[in-house]
Amino acid sequence: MTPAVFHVLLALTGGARHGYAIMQDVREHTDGVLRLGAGTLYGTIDRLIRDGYVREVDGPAAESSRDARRRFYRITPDGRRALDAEVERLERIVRTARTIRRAAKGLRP
Amino acid sequence: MTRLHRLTLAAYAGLTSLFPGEFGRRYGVEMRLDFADDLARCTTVADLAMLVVRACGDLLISLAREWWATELLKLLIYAGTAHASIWLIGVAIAAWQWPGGSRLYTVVISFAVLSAPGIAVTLWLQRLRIHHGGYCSLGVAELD
Repeated sequence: MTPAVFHVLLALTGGARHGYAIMQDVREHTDGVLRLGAGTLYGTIDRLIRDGYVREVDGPAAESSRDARRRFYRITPDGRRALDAEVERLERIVRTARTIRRAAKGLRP
Repeated sequence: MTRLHRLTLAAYAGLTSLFPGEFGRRYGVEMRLDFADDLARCTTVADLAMLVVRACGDLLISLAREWWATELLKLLIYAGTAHASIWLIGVAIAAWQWPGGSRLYTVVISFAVLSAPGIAVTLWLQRLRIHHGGYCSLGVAELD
């Protein structure tokens, strides 16, 4: 799973969001390290929709015609499972790395 | 919104219209709205320049990716590669100066022109058969 896919799915676990809100969430979650451009974001969303990980939903009543033009996206159960699997995989990697580092420190004279 | 902001937004809108049909129709408006929101936050020329550089980089990569996903670009690249390969073989054969070399060269070039589309389509279909997964397929495999 690419970082963009991972962070888009992560941003959507908080509920339905439109593209700009997802972009801001990703920037916030990564302390500004990952800044998704619009092309990358909507390309990622498009593929996630096709793979069944995200679906388009009706947003809250729009306050202006500008807001009405925005689409809202929600993570699907498949998307949630894929995200959980990825989080578990990353946790395994970190656990392994910690074990190796502890063992290396123990061997150090 | 200043004149510079309006010009930048118009240029961005022009670039987003370069996305392939379905993708551009579906996400073009949202991309322009998002860019306009980012643009409204730019108070200095330096902010604006940074935003433009980032947006151009993002558009360049995503335009290539979306066109690649349409298969049309792939077909053109395969056709071009197949055509260039056969052309180069023709040049190599002609350079050996075999008896009747120039006639042979004409035959090879004619073959290149006539066969390139067929070779491209065959390669393309073959590739589709091998690589049928999207880039999220790894996640699916892990779940299975």
